[in-house]
Amino acid sequence: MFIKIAQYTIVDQMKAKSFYLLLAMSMGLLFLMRGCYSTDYMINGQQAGGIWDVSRLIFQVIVMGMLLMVSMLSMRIFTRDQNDGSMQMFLSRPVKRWEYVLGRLFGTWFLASGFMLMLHSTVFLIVWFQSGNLNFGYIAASIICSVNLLFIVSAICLFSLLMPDFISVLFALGLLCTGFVSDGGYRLLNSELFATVTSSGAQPPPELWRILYPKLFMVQAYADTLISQSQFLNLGPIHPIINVLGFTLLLIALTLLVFNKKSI
Amino acid sequence: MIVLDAVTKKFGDLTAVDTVSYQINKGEYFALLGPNGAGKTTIIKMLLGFIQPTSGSITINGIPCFKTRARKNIGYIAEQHMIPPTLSGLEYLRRHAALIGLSGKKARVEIERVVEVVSMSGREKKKSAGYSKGMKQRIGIAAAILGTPELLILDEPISGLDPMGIRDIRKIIDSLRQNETTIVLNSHLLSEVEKTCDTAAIMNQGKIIIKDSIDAILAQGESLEDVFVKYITQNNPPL
Repeated sequence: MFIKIAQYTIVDQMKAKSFYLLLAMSMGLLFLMRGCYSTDYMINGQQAGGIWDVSRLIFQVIVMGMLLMVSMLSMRIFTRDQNDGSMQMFLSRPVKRWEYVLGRLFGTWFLASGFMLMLHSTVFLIVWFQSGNLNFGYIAASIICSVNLLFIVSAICLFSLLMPDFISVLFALGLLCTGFVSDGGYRLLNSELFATVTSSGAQPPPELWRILYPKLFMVQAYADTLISQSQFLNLGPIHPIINVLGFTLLLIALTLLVFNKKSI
Repeated sequence: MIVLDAVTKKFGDLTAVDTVSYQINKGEYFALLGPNGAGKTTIIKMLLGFIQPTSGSITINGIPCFKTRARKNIGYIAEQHMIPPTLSGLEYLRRHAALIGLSGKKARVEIERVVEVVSMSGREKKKSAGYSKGMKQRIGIAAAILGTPELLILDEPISGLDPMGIRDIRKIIDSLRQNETTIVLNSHLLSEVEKTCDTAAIMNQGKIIIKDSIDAILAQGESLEDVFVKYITQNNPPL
């Protein structure tokens, strides 16, 4: 039943004209920027790298944009359903509460991941046509980053049951930003560039909370290594995908627990 | 068929339903009456599993009402029925049909039947955002009677309907009664209840004041309205 509800979620979102408008605008923008991908940039008289370097940056911009977009989509799932009668429609029928929650949650995630994959595929195809260079790591990286989208959808679904919708988005984005600052800082401090500039030795090991904190930034950093085919510098012993999936499962379990007690 | 056993529901300090016990038999047309805030809608929401009682139990055909299978054969129409604005009446009914396990030709035939019953033929494909309150109510009733439910819960079903609409709904309910459908009606329209229901309970401040057959209740006064006013003022004297 939850697959059916997920299908309804996707169909309902795709009925909105704004969905197609946003998709067309985003793809159009990526297409207009196609000149950037084929330029070899020079910094201090040295070539900055191949075209994948620029598209790697675009890749991260798309992921960040999608994290914001999926936050907006997720924050009103339960409020909107309660206001427009959808929640009553499902739950007055033999539908279990967990089926309804998972249907809405995975439907939103699947839609956002598909949207993101289409944008990433646009860049992938443009670069392929321009350079003849096929890098399937770009597509794999997109699929990996969808884990981050699932985390954000789950977090906002849970928070929106406990606090006003907009605050729930701010709360989730706060979680995201803290992780980005912490993990981004770690990567910067351990980068070759930083070591060269400061001539400092090895950095002390990170604190436990930084190892356990949701590793959304590190998932994106890992995805980036798939595009650049470089080595991944992890923070702590747990792979970031396992870390984020673990937190996502915890968030989904808490959402189900809170929703089970909710009055409709 | 429906058994409420010492059901209490508290919202913080407020007791919305206070140790209510009664039984509604199969095929009975039962009306739940009472002033605003008496606890009628809370009971209906508990019957549907939307909220859980603080204490006591509610069973439908022996199954606790919060279990999903208790809702297998229930049709429900809410007061001011809402239909997601992105859906047409037809899409809304298709979803209801799918949720109760109707698919393919069976679903199509059943949807055509209920659309005809609520006199919405030809208008079912319009987006619900363009429906009037009465049209939404009709589609809501069509959804509630899909698959001929064993139990029909009607929360102010004729609110917002014109006299023709009220007459149509009465006809629909009469036809359902021939199938031995149990009907629970929450309504303020006492004249309607007097005309159609078998039994009624009057609630006030979360408690059942009287539950009896309509005939027995009417024996205590000239009309149901007289009896209603008498019981409510006795239990809640005017200021």
